[in-house]
Amino acid sequence: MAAERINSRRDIISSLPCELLSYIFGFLPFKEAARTSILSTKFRHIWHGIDRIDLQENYFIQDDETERNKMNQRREFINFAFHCWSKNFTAKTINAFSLAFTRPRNFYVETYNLIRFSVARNVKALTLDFHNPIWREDGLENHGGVFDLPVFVYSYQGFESLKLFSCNFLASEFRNYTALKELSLGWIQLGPNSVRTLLMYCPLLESFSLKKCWNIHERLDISRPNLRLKNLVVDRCNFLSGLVRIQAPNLRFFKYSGKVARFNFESRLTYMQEAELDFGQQSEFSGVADLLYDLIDQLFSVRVLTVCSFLLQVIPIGEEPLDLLKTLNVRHLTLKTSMRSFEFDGIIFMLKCCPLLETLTINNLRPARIFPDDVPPFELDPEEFWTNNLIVHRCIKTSLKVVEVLGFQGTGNEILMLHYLISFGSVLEEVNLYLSEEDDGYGGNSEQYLQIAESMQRDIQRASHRLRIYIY
Amino acid sequence: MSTPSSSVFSYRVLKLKSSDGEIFEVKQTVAVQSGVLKQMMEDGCTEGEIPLNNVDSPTLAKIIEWCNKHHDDDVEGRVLSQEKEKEKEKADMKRWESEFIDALNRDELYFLLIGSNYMNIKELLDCAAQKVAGMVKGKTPEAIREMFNIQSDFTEEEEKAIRKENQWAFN
Repeated sequence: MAAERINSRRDIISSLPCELLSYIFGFLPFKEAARTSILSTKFRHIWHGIDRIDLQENYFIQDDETERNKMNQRREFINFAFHCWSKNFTAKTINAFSLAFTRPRNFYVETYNLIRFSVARNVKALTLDFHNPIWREDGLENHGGVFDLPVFVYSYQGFESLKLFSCNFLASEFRNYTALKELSLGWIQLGPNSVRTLLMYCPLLESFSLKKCWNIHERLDISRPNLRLKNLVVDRCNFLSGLVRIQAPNLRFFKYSGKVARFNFESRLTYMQEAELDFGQQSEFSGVADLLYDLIDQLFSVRVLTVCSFLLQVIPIGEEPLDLLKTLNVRHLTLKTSMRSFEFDGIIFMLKCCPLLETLTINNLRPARIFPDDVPPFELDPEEFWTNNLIVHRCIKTSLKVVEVLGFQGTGNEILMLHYLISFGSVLEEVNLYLSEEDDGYGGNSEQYLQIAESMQRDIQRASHRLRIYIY
Repeated sequence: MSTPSSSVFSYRVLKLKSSDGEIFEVKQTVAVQSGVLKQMMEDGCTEGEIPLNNVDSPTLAKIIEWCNKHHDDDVEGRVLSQEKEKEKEKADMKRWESEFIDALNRDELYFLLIGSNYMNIKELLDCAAQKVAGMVKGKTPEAIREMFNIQSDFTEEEEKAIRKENQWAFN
């Protein structure tokens, strides 16, 4: 049938074939997609044809309910998933299937059969998330699996992406997963040599993520010759401390959150684009500055870098290596900082290390966390620091175009630093102030932040005539 | 280095005929982005005009513009050291894609969805589908009906019943 152009106001969406509509709604959050059932008769069952499925018990559970009612709501959820959704499902295959459920053992048959249902329909991306949201991400407790990956799953060969949270698995059974490109593991104790075994069986792996994974008897060792890995995330894991070994010559994105370690990248990271470092879990202060220099030095090629308050506080203490300054290629630097005076040396240090910097993002974190916890920090006089004898580093004079402040409250320290950047930033084009929505605890609120921002917008002396200050 | 077998076809041209009878000439290396045309090439049945009954000439012109932009003469020939340039190109391409899609009016978008689905051009279909999903996202059913001029044919009771059946989605 030839498609014809009609000039009337077209009901464009209704005249699309059902399959195509399901495909389009597959890009919506699953809950929103289900809501399209009410649009009209034509749309009644479109969402049953969506092949990206995201089933979360949260859809059914109200936070303020008693535990007993929550259990009933969980039952409703799993009944919905197992009896309503799967029975009405109309697509031939499943592209992505995600199940987030905290009590899989209480509803073993349903959980088992839902997984089976997805595998039988050739699921490409499977996510099984059994972790309990009340577990604290920043806590030191180790949590384990609450459900065993059913045995039949190991004989399936079609996975391109697999995400298992609080779900026990046998790495030695991964030999069929040769097509796997993405693997995320979380909230689980990893068995001996698990990582090595996984890397061996999944040669095409491009993304590997470990969150709250632990094995206190082994060091974290992500290495194998010719690894294709492009993205690596290690988020608050607990391994035998001291050394992290990574051999992934194609790495582009590296995110690490956890304790400081000696990072050993065993191949030159030529393609590294972006790194995000957070050492908020580290409590020990001494001796780590050199490890941080060493890490940053190895990340020489990144264009986008995010560093944390801990790094800013610690890095000025170390013996600064002479050759670091030449090497960093960073164009976009994000500082997670509380803008306290004990971070200033670190901020200036980072500016010095990034001579090609184009964008600086200041991500305000409140409240401030001081490292080490037990020793009062050396507080500088902020005004003295930002106005007297301060060296203006190269990036400020030649490359810095954009400064962003997230959570702007107009504190004295924020203003001093902005003043410094704006009065010397001769190529600066944009300063974007995103106002904080929180009260500062001293009677300050967003209205007041706005006033400060506006007066700055009006009065501040600027080195660049092209500069525009925007307030959001 | 491009392989000899691929270069044999490189400069051969397909003649695509739109639903309104216009002929478009497209290099095989470009046309291969369409799953349907690729299959026809593999089956060796691309002689003469290939009728595309579901795609009119303005839409086909758009589709070919997309494919030309996304086609890379010498993918194999690139050496790895140019990896960084590739990253930048990727970002430029993303920008081009969103400008391309955003510039379409509703009708054009509609025909592009039909056309890219029919010709099985996954990247273009995804891009157009995401555009429509983006228009729907975050809106109430009433607002979606309004935007796309959808007439609800449910009675009040029916609508209530559907809401109840999918209560979880409306929470």
